[in-house]
Amino acid sequence: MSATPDIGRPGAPVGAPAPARFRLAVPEWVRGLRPGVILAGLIVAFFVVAMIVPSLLTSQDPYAVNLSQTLESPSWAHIMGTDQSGRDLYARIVYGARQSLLIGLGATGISVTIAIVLGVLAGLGNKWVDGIVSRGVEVMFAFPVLLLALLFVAVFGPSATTEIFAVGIGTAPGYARMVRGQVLATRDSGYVEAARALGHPYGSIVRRHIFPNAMRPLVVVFTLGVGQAIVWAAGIAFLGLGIPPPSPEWGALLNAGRNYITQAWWLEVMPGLAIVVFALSLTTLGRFVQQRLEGGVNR
Amino acid sequence: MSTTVNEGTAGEPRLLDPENRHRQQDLLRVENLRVGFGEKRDVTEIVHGVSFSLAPGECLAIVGESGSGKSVSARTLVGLTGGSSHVSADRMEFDGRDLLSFKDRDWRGLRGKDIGFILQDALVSLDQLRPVGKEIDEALKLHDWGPRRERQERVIELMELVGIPEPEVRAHMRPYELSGGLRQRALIASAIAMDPKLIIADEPTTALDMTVQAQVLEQLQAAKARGKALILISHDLAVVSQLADTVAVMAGGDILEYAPAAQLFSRPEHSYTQRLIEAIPSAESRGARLSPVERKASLGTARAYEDAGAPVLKAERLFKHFRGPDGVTRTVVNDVSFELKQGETLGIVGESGSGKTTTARLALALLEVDGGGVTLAGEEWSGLPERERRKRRADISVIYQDPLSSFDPRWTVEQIMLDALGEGYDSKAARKARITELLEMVGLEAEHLPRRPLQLSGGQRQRVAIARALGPQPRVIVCDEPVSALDVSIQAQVLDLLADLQDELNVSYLFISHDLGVIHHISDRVLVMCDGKVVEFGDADDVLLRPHHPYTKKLVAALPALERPEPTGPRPFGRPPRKGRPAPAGAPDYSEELAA
Repeated sequence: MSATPDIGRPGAPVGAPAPARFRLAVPEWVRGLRPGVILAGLIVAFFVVAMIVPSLLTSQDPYAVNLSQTLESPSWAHIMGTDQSGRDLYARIVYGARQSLLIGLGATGISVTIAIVLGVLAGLGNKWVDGIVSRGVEVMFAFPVLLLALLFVAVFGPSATTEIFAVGIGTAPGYARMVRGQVLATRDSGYVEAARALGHPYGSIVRRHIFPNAMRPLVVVFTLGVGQAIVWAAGIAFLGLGIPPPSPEWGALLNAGRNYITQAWWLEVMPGLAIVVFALSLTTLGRFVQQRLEGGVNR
Repeated sequence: MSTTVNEGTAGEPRLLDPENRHRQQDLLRVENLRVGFGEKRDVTEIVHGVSFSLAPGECLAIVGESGSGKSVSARTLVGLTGGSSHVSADRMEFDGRDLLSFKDRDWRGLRGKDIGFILQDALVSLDQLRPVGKEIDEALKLHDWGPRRERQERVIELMELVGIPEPEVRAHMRPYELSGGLRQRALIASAIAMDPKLIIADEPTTALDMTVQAQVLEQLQAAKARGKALILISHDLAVVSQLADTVAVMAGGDILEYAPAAQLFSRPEHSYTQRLIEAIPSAESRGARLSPVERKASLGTARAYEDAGAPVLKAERLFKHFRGPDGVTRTVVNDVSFELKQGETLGIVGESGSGKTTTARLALALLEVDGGGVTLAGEEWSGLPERERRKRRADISVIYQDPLSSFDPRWTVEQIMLDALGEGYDSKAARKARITELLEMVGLEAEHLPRRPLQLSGGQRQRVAIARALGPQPRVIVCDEPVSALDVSIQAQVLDLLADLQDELNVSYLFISHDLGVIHHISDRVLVMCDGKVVEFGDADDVLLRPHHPYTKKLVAALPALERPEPTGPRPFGRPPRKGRPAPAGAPDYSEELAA
């Protein structure tokens, strides 16, 4: 905060240095957080670093085959063990973060975009538009995401892009329904009627009241959705419909370790742990943001 | 209607007399009750040491505004204050038992059996999926009243007792199938099922229509006559005066005045009690101020409208039909006509579902008419396409019952106000000056500009709503139950403010309310609506003091009249009479005297 007068010491000359305090320089807003939220923030930060500059977090090469060290259990040299080709699993998970996170972000981005278009169309359109869009969304709902992924892989071949689109389109209907509900609630709210009574044109009411208020909950849904999308993608990859080897994408790691599950538990547990911990951390952060937005001054 | 006060018990102020305090027949005795909420170190005390006692067949009313601690005090008596509460008292005895030593188990045995608790909203308090007969039976079953067959007979008997017609049929109905009055009566039936010695009613009539309220009060009166002790919690002094033998006035967690009802209403001692009684709008308060807040000398640079002669808002034979979910078309507004002159207030009164809000929305042209038409300032209004209407919306604005939901939650007061200004301000500074002026007109200040509605009190929010309605300089303001959600003293201030603004700006009000007192206080002419039709229309005094139509008569009869102090002169907060109204015989300004 800038230039707050020093109320505590009325006699102090302006600009005098404050008495020195021996304390760890933790900003005020961090001290108020719950430890769970801080931990979640650190974990997400770790994976974001892994996504951008993975070499900072490991000196090992995720693709370096070493046939003398195959399927070694976790040790100081390889904290998460090695796989059937002797590659360091920790390095693979760190390097796999980029593709996994991109799949999560990309898929959520696509599904939220589709959802906003369909939801706003249904919420603001007349009963015919609403009827057609809503029925369409229900049909999409009934269509399993995995089946959709299968279809995409069959047509476009297995790749990260295919996975992004499959998960993105597959999870869109749920969001679309939510957006429609939000738009409807905002459209019928007191402040929209008040704005109409003041004589504001419909377009400006949509732009200034309906859209921003209906979109508020989406901020949270987005953070929750990224974790969800990664889990979905991992599921698709586990079935062998994901990115082909030797990619270290987390789902691909799970799929690759499947055949050695009786000899090397870490091949399944470690990537699984990475997915769970990351999704859980994002969810925790999402809930935190939600509380800040809705529980605070901003309702 | 006249108040019937139980004679005998309430004659002298024995409750304040320490010698009479420990009478043997006291059913309930509470001394120095303190209730706080919070975690271990951080406890905020809400109730600061209140004392009262109650004998069988007596009614104690606890009166106060929101946040006064009245509900918390009552809930303490049935152990419903919640986990984070801290209760202490020198003495808290009910029927010879020490309530302070009670554990959860003891409370469960007490509630419903020895003390019946009636909550405010029957629709919320009753299980939506359970027939009301079952609900009443539940109370009996819980306390082992007897075998099934006998319980069923008892349920029917109870429903008859509280005046539910055809109880055999109604016992199988679910709450949503019953009217508000029947629901509240079913709730009373379940509260008195075990024949408790004490009934606590927390705002039992607050959400109800006037005629339903009268029915519920009748039931409580009957319970009292059967020898039950009654604690009535209410913010409504008129309701209280119908039932109470003793009244405790609470504010800020303290009992400010504790006296027999007859004495309290005729000779209120505490200035707060006096102000509360003074603040009630009614026929007598017409043209007088309700609150001690002084009127501002000038209301800024706003222009006042001249009388044009022709009515500023005219509705002719309005019709509106709605198709219900069952496919049946209902006529919600049925042949409604009225005229509103410049500077006049037209009150629309009616019970819920009478079509008054729909009429308001038709007048605002927020809803299209199905028949008839509305003219605004002598020109076509409801028949225009929305595009044309938008240009003239500045002439008619609206104030809603719930101001909070009528503001975009993301916006500050400043944004809300800027948004409401019409055109014709050339600079940012001019706009800012204008909204500051508007806020000052309604008694707010520039410091409120950066706040959000959620950070304002209920009264302040409604003031912002009024300022917003004034923003475009309208000729007509439609007020849809603007004071129904407010405390009595805040309501008084808002009603005074509306009257001042009308004096100054000569603006017209279409004022909708279910409260006859409010309507009579503020309206020049009154329109009574029932089932979408106008049943009576005329000058306020003619309609409300000499009603002709049976429905109006019923409404007026249901209004709980407050036994007021003998009029010993003009009302204390005199103000100049409003235009076109007879002045109350010489009304000098006593406000300074009272403040001293």
